[in-house]
Amino acid sequence: MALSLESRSASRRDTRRPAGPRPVRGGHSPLARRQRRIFGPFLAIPLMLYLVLFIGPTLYSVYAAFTKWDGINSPTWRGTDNFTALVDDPLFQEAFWNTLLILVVVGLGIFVLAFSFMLLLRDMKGKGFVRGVIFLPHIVSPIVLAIFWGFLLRHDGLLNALIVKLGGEPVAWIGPDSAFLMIMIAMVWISTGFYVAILMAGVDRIPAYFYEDASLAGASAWQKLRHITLPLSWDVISVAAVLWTISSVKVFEFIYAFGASQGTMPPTYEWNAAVFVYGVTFGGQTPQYRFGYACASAVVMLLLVSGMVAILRRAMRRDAVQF
Amino acid sequence: MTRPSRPGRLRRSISLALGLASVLAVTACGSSDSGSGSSAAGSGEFTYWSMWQEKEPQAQVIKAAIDSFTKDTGVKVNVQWHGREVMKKLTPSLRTKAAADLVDQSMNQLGNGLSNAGQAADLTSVYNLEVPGEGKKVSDVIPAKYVDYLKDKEGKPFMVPYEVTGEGIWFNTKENPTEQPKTWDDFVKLLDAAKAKGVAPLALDADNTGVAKYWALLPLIRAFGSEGVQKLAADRSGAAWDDPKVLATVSKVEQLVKGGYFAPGYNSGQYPAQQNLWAQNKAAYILQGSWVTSETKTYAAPGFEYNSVQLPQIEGGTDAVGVNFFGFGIPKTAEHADAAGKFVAYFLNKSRLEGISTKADNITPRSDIAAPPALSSLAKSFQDKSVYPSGAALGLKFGGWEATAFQPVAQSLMQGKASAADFVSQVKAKSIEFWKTQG
Repeated sequence: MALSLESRSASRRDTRRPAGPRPVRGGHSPLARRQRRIFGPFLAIPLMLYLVLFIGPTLYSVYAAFTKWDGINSPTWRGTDNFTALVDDPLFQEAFWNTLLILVVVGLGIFVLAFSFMLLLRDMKGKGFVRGVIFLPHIVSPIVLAIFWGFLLRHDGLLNALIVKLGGEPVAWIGPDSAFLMIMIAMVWISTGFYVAILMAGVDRIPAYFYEDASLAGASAWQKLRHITLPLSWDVISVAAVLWTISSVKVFEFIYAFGASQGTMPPTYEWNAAVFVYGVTFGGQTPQYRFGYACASAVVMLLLVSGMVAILRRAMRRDAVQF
Repeated sequence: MTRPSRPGRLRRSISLALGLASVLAVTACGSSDSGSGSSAAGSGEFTYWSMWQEKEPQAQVIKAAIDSFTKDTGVKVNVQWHGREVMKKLTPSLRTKAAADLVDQSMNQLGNGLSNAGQAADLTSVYNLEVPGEGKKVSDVIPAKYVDYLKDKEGKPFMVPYEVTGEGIWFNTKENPTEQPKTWDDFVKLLDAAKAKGVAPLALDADNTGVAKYWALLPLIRAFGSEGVQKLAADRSGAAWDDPKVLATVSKVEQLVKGGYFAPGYNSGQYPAQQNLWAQNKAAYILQGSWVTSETKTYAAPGFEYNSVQLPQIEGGTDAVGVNFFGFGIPKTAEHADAAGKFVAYFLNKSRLEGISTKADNITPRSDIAAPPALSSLAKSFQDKSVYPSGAALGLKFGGWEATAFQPVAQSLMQGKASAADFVSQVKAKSIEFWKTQG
């Protein structure tokens, strides 16, 4: 019953090949010839756009990472100095560490919650509504959410008002030790709905009779998760994990809107790599225009994400189960 | 005639494209020439990108001047109200042909974005222009002690200010009438008096990196002078931080943190919660920039009367006052710099610049324009005392160092995470690290 994805597509290719003469090939018909001629220009336009708007700037950023560049004048070559400076830069170390915390800790939080919701929601009435409610924060602008989060957690915020009303002492939710934790919790809150939606799409495909059969055999909820849900939605889970890895590194708006005030940068204990890039270029009351340096940090993060994605893909590679 | 070979066709199309491009280029030049009307009489128009949003009072004042400038001189002003991000938007065009002939921002923004990048026009000629209707030159109405800090490394001015701000210890005269404290002990006595009244002595939004930094930086400036602090910053060996005076100064600040002088929640709030709390008389003093007066206006308790003093001199240091500037700069590649310069001189006329004080509630650089009442003590100290560039110009001269080695530690000190001794050792260590990486 189970076939690997590769062998399936291979077999499809095999069955196709002998199926009669191919539709006219290699410019025998005038239509095909014209199609072939137009193929070039049609490909060229998106390729050009892609090159100019995406590949070009990316390559330039990689080049700029090896230069001293203020974003205005010509870059001057600096070799690997930017990278060695990054290693010693306490701001980058902090931002890098925070980025990893978001990637790993928030990622785990999201997936644990998403799986729990998945189990709860699978056979719950009104699951569409609940799914919508969890998904909601993902639609709202992160800036609005950041303002709300601050409104809730600051010293004179809603939560402390409630605590005081109940006779307690105000809690320092966003003090120097706890502010980043609160940002991480907010990230979980914002992103969980999105991943629940993706995972549920995978889970909804699983025919109900597997679960019925398992129930008859006396399987527990955990066993059903382990032996039915996980294997049958594995490809969706691995895609979701890759999506999170990529998007976690790009978190910016929420942190900036949550931490920055009056044109200043957020406190450095709230920085992640994306905020770092802004902080050493345009950010703050006295922008530093260190574009070469910022590019170097972006290259480091790009390498990190590429590495993480490669490892994830490898670690999560399974033979897809057909059902 | 035979059909041209492929390379021939290619060459032909290339030459056609080149021809077309040159025609376009020529027409482009032509149109811009005719548009600007560049001639001996000067440009007939210029483009101004503003740091203000159109509805802000400063924008209203500038707009009124633009309208009368066009009426008086016939020079058209293409104005775009970009807001605070104006330099970010202007940067990409600076090198080839600046998108704006005139731009305004703070000393730090124009200093780093134009002057330090070598993209600022030399404004000496603007300082030599006559202010229309006054028979005085621009350099006569802008005090030389201000212009000293608005020059590049070669001594050429890159900015003409129209608004001056500064920091101070702010209070409500009605609740806490205060004379300038002479020593740190005098200052602490003031705070103790407030404590005795049952009011929190100091408000501080410690999450605001700019304000938190003041508390470490300004006392150091009061002890070492602005140039002394620059020397500390520039010391690659870090040894300068071992001067016992550094620790002694920072310890004074640490005592305020440890002594519970800051209002409850200063450490876990969000700007501007504490400054609003101060405006409601729930804290006696706040160390902030002069904009705190306009920022808190709508939150202030009824009858709140703003006034300010400076931090006391520390151990025979300086009593100079920090000044920050907002004003005009002209990019080096601006096409209509002449017209832009004329407008700058035109705007500085007393009757027009006055609006910055009367309508926008700010101090102007002209000593003959009265400051708004809330800022009059500060304005007087600008005139009476010697001045230094805001924040010892660390942002302009040692921006990377300040952001990496100083600011985070200063914030840590104010949040009670670092002691005075920690502060000294951490800034020293980070300074050494930082300078090591700067080739």
